[in-house]
Amino acid sequence: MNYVELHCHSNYSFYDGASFVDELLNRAKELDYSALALTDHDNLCGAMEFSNHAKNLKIKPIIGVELSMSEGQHLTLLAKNIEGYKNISRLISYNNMSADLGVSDDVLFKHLNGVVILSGCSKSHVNQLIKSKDTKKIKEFLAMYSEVLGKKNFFIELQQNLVKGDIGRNKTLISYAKYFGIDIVATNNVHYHVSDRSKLQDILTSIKNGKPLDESHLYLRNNNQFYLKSYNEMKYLFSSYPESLLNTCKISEMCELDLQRDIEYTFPEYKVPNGYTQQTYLEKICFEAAIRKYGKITSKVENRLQEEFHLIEKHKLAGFLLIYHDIIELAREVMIDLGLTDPEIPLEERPPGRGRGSSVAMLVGYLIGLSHIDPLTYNLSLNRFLPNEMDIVPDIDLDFPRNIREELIKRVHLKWGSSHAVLTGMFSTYKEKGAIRDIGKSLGLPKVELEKLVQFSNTGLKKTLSEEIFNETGLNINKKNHLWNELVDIVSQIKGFPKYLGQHASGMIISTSPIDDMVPIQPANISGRYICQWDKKSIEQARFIKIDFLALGTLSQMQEILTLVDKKTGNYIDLTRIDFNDQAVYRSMHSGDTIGIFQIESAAQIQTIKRIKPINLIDMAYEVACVRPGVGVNDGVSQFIRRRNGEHWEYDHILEEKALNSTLGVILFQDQVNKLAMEIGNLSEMEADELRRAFGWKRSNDIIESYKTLFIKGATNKGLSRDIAIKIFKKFNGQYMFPESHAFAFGVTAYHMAWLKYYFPLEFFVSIFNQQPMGFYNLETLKEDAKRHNVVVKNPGINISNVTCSIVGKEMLLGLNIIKNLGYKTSEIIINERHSKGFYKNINNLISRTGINYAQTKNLIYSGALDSLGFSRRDLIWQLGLFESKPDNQRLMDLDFQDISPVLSGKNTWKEMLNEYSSLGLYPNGHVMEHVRKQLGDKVIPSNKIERFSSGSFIFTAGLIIRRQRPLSKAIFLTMEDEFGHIPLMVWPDIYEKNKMLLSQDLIGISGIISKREGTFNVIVHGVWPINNFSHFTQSKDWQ
Amino acid sequence: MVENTRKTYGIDENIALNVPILINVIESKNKFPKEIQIKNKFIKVLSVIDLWHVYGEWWKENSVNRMYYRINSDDRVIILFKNIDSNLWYLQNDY
Repeated sequence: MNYVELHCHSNYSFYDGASFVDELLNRAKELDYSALALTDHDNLCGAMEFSNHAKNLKIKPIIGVELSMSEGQHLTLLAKNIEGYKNISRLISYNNMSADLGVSDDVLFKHLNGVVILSGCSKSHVNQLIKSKDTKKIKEFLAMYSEVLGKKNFFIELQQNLVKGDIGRNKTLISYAKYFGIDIVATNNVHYHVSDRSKLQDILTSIKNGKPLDESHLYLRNNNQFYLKSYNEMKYLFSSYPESLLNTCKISEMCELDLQRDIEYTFPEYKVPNGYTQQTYLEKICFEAAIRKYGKITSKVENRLQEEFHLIEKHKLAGFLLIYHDIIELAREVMIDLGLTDPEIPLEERPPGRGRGSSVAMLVGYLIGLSHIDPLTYNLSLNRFLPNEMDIVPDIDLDFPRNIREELIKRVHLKWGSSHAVLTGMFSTYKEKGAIRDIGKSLGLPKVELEKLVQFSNTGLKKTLSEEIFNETGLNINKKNHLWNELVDIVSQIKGFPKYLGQHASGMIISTSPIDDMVPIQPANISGRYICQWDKKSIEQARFIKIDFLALGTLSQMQEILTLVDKKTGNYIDLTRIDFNDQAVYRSMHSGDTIGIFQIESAAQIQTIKRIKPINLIDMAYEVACVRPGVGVNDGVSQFIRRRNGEHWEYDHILEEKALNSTLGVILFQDQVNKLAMEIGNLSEMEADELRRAFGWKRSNDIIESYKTLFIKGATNKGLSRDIAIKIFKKFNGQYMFPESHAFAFGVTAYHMAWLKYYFPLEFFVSIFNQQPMGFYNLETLKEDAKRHNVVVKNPGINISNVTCSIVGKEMLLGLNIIKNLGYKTSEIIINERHSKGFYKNINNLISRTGINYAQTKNLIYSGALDSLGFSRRDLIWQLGLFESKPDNQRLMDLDFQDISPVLSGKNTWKEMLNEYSSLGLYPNGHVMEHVRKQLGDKVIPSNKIERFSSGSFIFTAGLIIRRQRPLSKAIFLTMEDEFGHIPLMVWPDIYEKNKMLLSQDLIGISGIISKREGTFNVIVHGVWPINNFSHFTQSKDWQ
Repeated sequence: MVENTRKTYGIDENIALNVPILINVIESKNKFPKEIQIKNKFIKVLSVIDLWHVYGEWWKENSVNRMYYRINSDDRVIILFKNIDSNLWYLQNDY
């Protein structure tokens, strides 16, 4: 192949590239390319992915960029080596971090080492000058570039995309190239791998410019010629200038960068006090903490510590763990500053965060404040976190309350600096719903039908979009309109396309070498934060060490409960010292009273906890582990519960015993996959771990197959029959499971929350209202649950409420910030004004003092917050009407409403309820079903009476649908709520399809058959009927 | 007085300008125009000055997929195009 494409955009050019990196490379392979460049607009987002995939295909990856210069002109830069790559990365970072728009020549010229520059596309400086026919400036520009860059590193770029003017422009460029003795090079300005993708390219351009295709002619490319062309096509187009093709190969030879090999990442060195090595210093910290924790170093503690120290030393992880210790210390400083702990309290006594994941199994982690679980108490195995053999640095994930995490991120940036500590990037990608909306809008398809289609899609049913469009009876679609077919095609192409670079939920990278030497950095949307242009996967491939700080709503809730209890009782509860065998708490869980409790509150989790009936923390770990897709996929949950309840069972082979003994022969934890692979298949620790991870990778079939062969061979060598070996191998799957230690960590947190809910329900509900959004349920459902715990929820009051919900006596008073359109800021203005100038007397007084607008005042009235002003809500709405058309600057008249208000008829409870639902998202004084019940008749059974019916009974029931879910099974699960509790509904796909529209409504009635097992029940839906089409009762949390 | 107040005036009612005229073209081996027949007169193509491809409007009933040629004949410059989907040639401009 005598041509290398050196100007190529992937979909990481964000709306200006219509192919994935792997699509481009696979096409390049088909066309027999020996090398290919990636030159996305102003970023290296795809560089690592491209580099890796190219190497797998034995194509030489050339990394570059199409850089925006100071007047918006484009310039093509390619990295010859790591120096050139660093310079490109720095230039992009400069572009992102400085206030300048684009890179100036001066800045560019300081970053030329190792870089080859091509003069660029039709938007380049030189081509813009040619367009304006400014000969003098063209000559000045080319003279300067060829002199500064040197003629070996600067090429005049010719493009022939069969666009009007290409021929003339190329002729002019060639004449200048000859004049200055600059070499020419051909590129095709590739924006997609095959010409068919030009439609998607047009769509992306239309989306980018926010205009439908019909109004996008100015922005669209003229044709579909911007695809990856074969050598013969390029040879034909550049037949007059063959050297321009040969030069592509010459440049390719100049580029010798191997990104994975050449990148220079080092984790920061932890500086230890004199006289210590990192290892001895870590050991010292651990022994001191162990004495504080246990009183003395017992042989059990000593043995475990020595085992861990040995592995830490072997894998050179002491410095790594000490850096974590440093971060935890930083978090502790945050806690102290927020008044959440005392400097006198040792770190391990009140750790600022909680570990999750396999790292929780480490005693060292417990002692240096990385985790809240004592692994000795629960006999947690180290293997998964610190195997004897390993080639990667282990992951440590830390959970923090939101406020601590926010501040911690800032302090990590401060401590290491923005060029040495950045957040991992994350690409927001196109999913089906967004794709239907955006593409449909571009195509000019009717909005109403598109929205219906969005509603029908993504229910988890394995229907194709085409089936949805052409067979769905609820859609009023003109099937002859070819645009619906185009929609189907383009939606399938765009799925997974990156929309923008955002911030990963938790990952941070800390590095000794400047990060912008390795990957460009940019400010995040939140001020004071910086992100890099690589996502988690690229970071892993670059072998960066990622530290995960996660914000966990439940920890924020826990912190608020503890503070509220402390305020009330003067006693800050130490959750490490509560009774973990409190059977009253466990009994409350057995009854399914777990709404709002981390990890055990979903319908599936409630049903499982009723069947498992945990009585200690080990059972809690089983409960938490059970409701994971990887356990359910092989019917593991039911099997485990049946066996717990005494069902006879046997191992498929006795060699399974060591791995599966504790979980009755069922795989509940990730670690057990590793153990089983080692025990049965004789795989090494590393092989077993790679096998487990390979199940979760894309395109990993070959790896899994090779391990399967190895596993079967190992198993048969150990005396298993081939059939049994295959049977055991089939127990492995790619669905997610928790590591054992992770399940313990979450199980403990779940118990903590259950304990707090049981003993401090008022504080529990106040805090969960204040920490929204979190959890599985909306405020209405939480309020209903609060009522069942004798917590009275009061409507907000303009003269009594705080910004957030608060405790008044023994009741919960809603805060103003939950009122629609008010938010935290306006609520604060209202409260501050009240504190400084006294109570609000009437609506006029409120509006004039706070400047709140019509919609905000209306919602205050609807929510009941103005009831204390002495008027009915109808009167208040009438009074508000007097202000509706007030010009902005006109002063309000000081009206005495008492005299001018008309006499309005009495209150309408139904209307008031609807208004409360729409302004608050809940109805504090009751439930909609209390009103509806009267009209339904006796045949409609309320939730509290359903359990009296036997399995198989046919019943009618009704309520609000508060949650829709579709796990891996075929059925769809809905949670219905009435004034007494919840009714779990199961809908088979055929029934769902027939009743899709009705089932998307809030308030419905259903008929169905009761199905009971092990103390739980479901109603299997047969029919659905409408009750009321009002659709603003609550916001159901669906398909999460 | 307006005859029909509800009538929408759109593109069909406008006078179309510069409408391409269907012509006969003899093609060379590489499918370039070699001779053009305009009003019963055959004109030889001396050289192709420029060529470009236009592809678009694919979302409409009639998409556009044309190869344009700006050619030199002995006495004038002509712009013509071939409709790639129908293989028909049209005269766009005759200067």
